[in-house]
Amino acid sequence: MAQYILELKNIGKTFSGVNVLRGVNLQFEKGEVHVLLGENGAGKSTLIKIISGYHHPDKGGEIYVEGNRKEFASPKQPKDAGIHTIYQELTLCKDMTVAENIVIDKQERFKGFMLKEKQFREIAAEVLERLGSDISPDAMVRNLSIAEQQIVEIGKALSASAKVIIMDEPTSSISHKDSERLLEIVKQLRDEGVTIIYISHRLQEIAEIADRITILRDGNQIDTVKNESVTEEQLIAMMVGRKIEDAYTKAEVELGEVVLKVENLCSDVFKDISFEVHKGEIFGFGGLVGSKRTEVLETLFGVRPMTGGKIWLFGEGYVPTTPEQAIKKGMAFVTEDRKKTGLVLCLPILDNLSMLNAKRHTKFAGLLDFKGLKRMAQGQREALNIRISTMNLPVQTLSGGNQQKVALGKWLDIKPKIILFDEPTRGIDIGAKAEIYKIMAGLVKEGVSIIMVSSELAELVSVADNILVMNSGLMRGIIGRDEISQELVMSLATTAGI
Amino acid sequence: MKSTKRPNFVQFFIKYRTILILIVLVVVFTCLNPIFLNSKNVLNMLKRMSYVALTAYGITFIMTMGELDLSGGSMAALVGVVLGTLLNRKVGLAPALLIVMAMAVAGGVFNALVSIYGRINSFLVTLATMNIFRGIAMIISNGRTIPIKNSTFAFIFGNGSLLGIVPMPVVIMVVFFLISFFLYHKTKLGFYTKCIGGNVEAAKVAGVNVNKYKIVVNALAGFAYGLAGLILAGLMNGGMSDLGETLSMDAIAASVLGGTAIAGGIGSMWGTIGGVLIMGSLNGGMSLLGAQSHHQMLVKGLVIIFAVYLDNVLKDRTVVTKDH
Repeated sequence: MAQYILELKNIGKTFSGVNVLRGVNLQFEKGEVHVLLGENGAGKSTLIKIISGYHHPDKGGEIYVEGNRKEFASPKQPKDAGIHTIYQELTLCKDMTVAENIVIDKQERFKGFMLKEKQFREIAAEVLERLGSDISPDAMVRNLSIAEQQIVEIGKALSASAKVIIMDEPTSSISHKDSERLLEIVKQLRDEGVTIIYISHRLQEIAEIADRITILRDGNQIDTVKNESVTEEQLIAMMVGRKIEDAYTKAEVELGEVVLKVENLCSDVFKDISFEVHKGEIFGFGGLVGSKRTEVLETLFGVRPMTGGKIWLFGEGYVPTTPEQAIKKGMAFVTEDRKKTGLVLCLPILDNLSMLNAKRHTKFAGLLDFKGLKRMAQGQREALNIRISTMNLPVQTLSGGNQQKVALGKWLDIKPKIILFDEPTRGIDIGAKAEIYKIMAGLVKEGVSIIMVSSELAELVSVADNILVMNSGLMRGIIGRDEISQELVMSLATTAGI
Repeated sequence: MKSTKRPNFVQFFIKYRTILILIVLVVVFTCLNPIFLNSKNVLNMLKRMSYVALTAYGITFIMTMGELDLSGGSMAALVGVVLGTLLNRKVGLAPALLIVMAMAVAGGVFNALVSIYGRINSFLVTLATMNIFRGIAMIISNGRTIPIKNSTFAFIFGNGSLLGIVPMPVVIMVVFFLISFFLYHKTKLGFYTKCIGGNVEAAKVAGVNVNKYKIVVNALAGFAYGLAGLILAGLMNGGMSDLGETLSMDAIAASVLGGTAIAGGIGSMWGTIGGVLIMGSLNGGMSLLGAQSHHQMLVKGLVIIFAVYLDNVLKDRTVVTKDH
């Protein structure tokens, strides 16, 4: 019997009634690179959070480390068992030195009262050398690049003699060159007998380093395959799956004249984005999380400075400066994170819906016309079918779907002509999704144009007329209505450009 | 993410900005009135800032951890009042000192416990205990000064001096500077304090018992406030419930002047003592020039804004950065 370094048996997870992970059975061998592959929301993050002690699996799930049953009640216990996780949000103390960060979780180094700074530096220097890195142990983490910080994280795990290192999309926010170096390190660690659990969307790098690949979709373990026995197309097909797409409403609208034309738009994080949006069109932005789609919307709306390119809005030249100006020109921006930038959670629905309209509903001397605002809010509530008993409840008491309707509703009274809609259905249930699509269809029928960023392939493919696919801040192509497919979007989004 | 290399002199200025500001102040005041650097004047100024320094040591620990504490001044007043009352009731000096210092430490622990288990922000907790501690001091003293006539006490914490030269409060300030420096920079306690303030999630993942350190740091700070209270009582020859009303704010200002980040994670004891000296020389220098205390307050305020602004500009640390 082969003994696995880490074995998961029947792992499932339910969050407030929603089953996000079902019956995952996985064995990890010593010294292998095991890739977890799946779309956003497939359950990868939940799975690694279970392995690293942040979540408990549902009843019946069991974790074995080197054949011994383990219960991970806190993030510390997996570490003690030799399992280290490097999260996308790195957990370093930025105002401490590299050496200090590397020893920080080694309680045994802190026996006694005094710090042993010399020892710290030696440990750090040794492990950095092993990684072939020229980072100084005395450097402040704040002054390091993201790629360097990742190396410090790896060093932190290595110096604790990690047996398993989990890496959550380590290359998503670093340059191509840094990615290559990181992959070299991954290979080196594998050869030294460390097991790497690697999460990534990038098929090319997966093909390069993976020994085995496990594909997850909608919380199900689709398959575990050997790298050499699959092709990219097969992986994409397993990731995407075949879904029945009943929930989607595609508005059949004759596209009108061009309302927005963008040529070679650049900012600090993306460049050379060009596209046209027509009256009554739903224009989709596809790509992986972190491919800088949101940033394009932000630039159009005047939140993020534009550094180059040209924009025409309704045939006139347009240089975004502030959101205020964008709103005057007829744009609206429903942001991705409604809790942070879309809504004021502690305020009632009425106030949230009035946020943009307060200026329009004033009486003499700038006093607010509360009756008018109430009428407006009531109108939105009916139009959008926001299900609440009273308008005076704080929005945080609403379900995600109803919150999203409020976030959208606050823009509608000012009659925008172009709506920038970032992840329209993030974190809401199927029923509410269908309603949002209906509302969108209604809007485009009235001649509104919608620019939608979505990480849900099925949604993007079903709702959008044209799709611009981005990858690492670059445009990878525009897919027209007649050739749209999930596979095409995914392959453009996951293969690096030249 | 870019790591820009700054020219050396800029780095030098960033690193030693507190001491450089201090030197500029000293030079300016000495030019305006040479008595400023007179040893008697210097020692006198140091004496008058000694209790601010002690409070600032404690505050530096608290702020480095990412917390705030407004209750120090009230605790200092309470310590003086209780000590005076105990001595008047014929309690010996040593047991009386023990009791009030234990009380000061307990006050800090109380702040921490309420903050942890009540899940209340430390700013709010200490806003409340600031009133509670001073309220108790007022009830005990009935608003009157409680004279302390113990000569040993007066020598150690008030008008005594080492070898007839260095005032005892200054000696205490220096001794506890060394102790604080050691704790802050050389021990596990200081290390984890910085780590918790810098990234509490990272500390938790690293297996640090965050609550334990919160309690210990608040207890230490309480001890520092207690000492500050003893010096205040010593200099005033008695306990008064309205002493030290601006003490916590002055100490926070001094610590921030010295580069402690209000959001936690960054600080140094050298910086803090530098900040205290800046505030002290401003007060001392301006009174030498005949400025009244309200002018001093105005200038103090402007200097705080200037120093913190300088800090932000130099370190290129934008207060709110948008993460993507």
